[in-house]
Amino acid sequence: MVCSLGHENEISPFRSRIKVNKWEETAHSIPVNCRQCEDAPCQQVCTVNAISRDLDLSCQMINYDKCIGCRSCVLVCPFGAMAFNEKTKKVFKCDLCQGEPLCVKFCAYGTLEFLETSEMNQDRMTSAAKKILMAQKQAEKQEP
Amino acid sequence: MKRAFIINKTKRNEIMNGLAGKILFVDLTTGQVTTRCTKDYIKKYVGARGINTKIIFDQVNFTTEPFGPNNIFAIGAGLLAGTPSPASSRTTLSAISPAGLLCSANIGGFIGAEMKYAGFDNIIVKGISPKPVYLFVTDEKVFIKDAESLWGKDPWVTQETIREELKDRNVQSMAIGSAGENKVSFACVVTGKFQSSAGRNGMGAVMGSKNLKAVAFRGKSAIRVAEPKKFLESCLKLHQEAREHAFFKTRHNSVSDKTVFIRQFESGKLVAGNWEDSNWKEDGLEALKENPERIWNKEAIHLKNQDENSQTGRRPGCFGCPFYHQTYFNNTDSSDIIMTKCVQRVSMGPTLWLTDHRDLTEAGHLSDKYGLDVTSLGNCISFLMELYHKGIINESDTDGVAMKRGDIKAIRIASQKIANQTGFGKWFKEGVAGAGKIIGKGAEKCALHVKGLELYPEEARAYKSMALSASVSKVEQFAPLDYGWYSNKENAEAYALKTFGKKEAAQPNKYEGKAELLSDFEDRTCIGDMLGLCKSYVPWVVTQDYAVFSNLIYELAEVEIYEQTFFKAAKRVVILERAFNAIQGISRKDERPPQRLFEKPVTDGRFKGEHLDEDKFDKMLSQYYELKGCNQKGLPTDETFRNLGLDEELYNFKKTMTARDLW
Repeated sequence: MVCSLGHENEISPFRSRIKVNKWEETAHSIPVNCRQCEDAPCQQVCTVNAISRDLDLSCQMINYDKCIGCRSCVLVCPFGAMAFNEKTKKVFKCDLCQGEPLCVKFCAYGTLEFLETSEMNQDRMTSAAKKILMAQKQAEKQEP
Repeated sequence: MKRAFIINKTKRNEIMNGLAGKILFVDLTTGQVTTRCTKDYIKKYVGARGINTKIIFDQVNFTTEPFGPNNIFAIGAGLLAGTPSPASSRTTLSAISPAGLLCSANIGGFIGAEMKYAGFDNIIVKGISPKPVYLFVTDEKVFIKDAESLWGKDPWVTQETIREELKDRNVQSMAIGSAGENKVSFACVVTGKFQSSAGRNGMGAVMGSKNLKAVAFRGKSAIRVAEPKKFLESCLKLHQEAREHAFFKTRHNSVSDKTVFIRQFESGKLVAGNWEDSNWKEDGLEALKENPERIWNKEAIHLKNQDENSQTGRRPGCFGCPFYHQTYFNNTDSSDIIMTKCVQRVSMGPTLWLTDHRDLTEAGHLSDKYGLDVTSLGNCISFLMELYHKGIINESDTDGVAMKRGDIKAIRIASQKIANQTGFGKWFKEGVAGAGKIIGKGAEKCALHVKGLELYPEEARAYKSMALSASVSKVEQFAPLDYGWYSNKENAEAYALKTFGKKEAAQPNKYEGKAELLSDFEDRTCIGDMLGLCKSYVPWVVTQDYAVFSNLIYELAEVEIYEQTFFKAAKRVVILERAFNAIQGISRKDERPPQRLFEKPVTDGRFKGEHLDEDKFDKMLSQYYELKGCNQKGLPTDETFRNLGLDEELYNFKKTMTARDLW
């Protein structure tokens, strides 16, 4: 909701740059958005060079003056994160909201985070290290 | 199968910011569809329940049979539904109930939002389809689709099958179960994987009578916003404030099933059996509050990764909810997961003498599986258990099933028979009121209902506001002020003094101040319904202040709806409901709790000894009628109609009341 409101001044989850995929039967919800790939298939396939990388934001940006709405990038994105806007007849995807993503601000649960790439694996690494530490301590206790 | 399309596109200048813009009218008998502009109703009726009630009052005659073609089944999304406003998830279903009253029920999940994105604010369904159908509403088009293969399926399987058929996982729908198909008077409508139900007043039965199995939505359109940046900022601020509220921090304890019984005991609200005498300890009910951690963490009834400290726990919530405080459980009779809520445990727990939490989960789920209102189902089965216990009925009366207290097998069988209308289940076609009359032999005195609606199992002998609410309102039979008194007396009494001029308004077992409390709360609840907001947010827990929503609506739709306008609209809706029900013959004589609540005192807990006093109750009721602008028979006065700008409605009301000689 807030994504479409922020970008297009209208509320339309269908035109959101981040979409939640739900499996009610097993109680799982997975949000999917553009991964801002370094070696982006969308950038490669674009015949008019409308997609380029903003190095500061680390974001693949669409130049709407060049986009011809051929939808090749929609076909080629492995995450399905590129979509076509029927109103504007151009494609759209996550642009990180100039570095302050709206979705992250609104998510109460902290499911969405906007991190530096170097920080991405920190939490998980700490959690794994803790488990190893616990196992080591346990083993030390049991040593004769 | 017949299909119907919308041909006339809404003109540009009729589209209003914040709204989908159209009300859809569908006639299932002929397959015809038309639309009307929502804008015409906003100032006077705001949305959802307001618009539903107005249209039903205008178009439905008092002679209309609830299960006939002229009854209207209305679905209303609400002014703020589908927007980033917190708690913007509620949808109102309205109709003439099987008991013959103009009333509504509320449903959560994702329905209202999807309906608005599909292009409609309200949907009005009339007629009866010759064969089972479901409605599919998408992008300003509506399809009437064949539902013969869905008939007999439970509400979740129905929704999944619809998604498969339409090849779209994002379709949101709501469906009835076998109880609605069989027109059981307390059948409900369910959405999601039993995420939410429109429980009370038999809306599921009305759908079933129209051969309408489900209503499905898929919307790709947008809601326009007048001041997008400001609106976004305001919504974000409200969401952030919600996260700072004490309720957010304790949400998994305060409303989750883990501690609901502890609160029931401490507050003195617990009802044992069918409002029967009980020593809670001797009868084993105190097991319900023992060691909830141990019970909660038992794997068999608890889904992993769902403890309150887990930030990524798989807790569900409805559309736009800042709290996400619902809970999943493992379904005990399959490898499935289900959702049950605290109201299900309260309605099918101590009332049925159940104390094992696994049984409680299963019992609560039965209502969703069959599409039955859990409160009414609990009331009906506890009624059977009381009759069995007293020897008024025995196994041979109930198809060989002994309706023993706390017997989960008996509960299972009774639920199935009631939903499918087989064997002794047929007694409950018209709820517990009907069953009392059919069984006779003194059973009528054990049938606890008001105007055909089964009592909600929270101690109305002690909580006088509940006794009043059960008598005069349609649903949501409690106010948070006296509800919270037992845990914070000073705050509650200070608020009562400030708002109502008397601290007794907060004291549950005092009659003083209750008429004012309920009258005010009834209006606030109605405003929440008209806006499409969840009452957990407003007016129950987080705030009672609608002024902030007034600002939000201005930023959304550039419409000036002040707090006074909300209240006036709410009063209109309540008066129209009262007026219609008066035409159906309802008056003061019908608006009182069952005799048992006057005669038998509470036998345990902090309000032991409390019961209702005839004179004091009458005085409280009289005060309520005066506050509502009604005469002492409970009928709205001419002046009340005029003050609310309901001159035409007054004329029709008087004409019909005179014709029916109901003055």
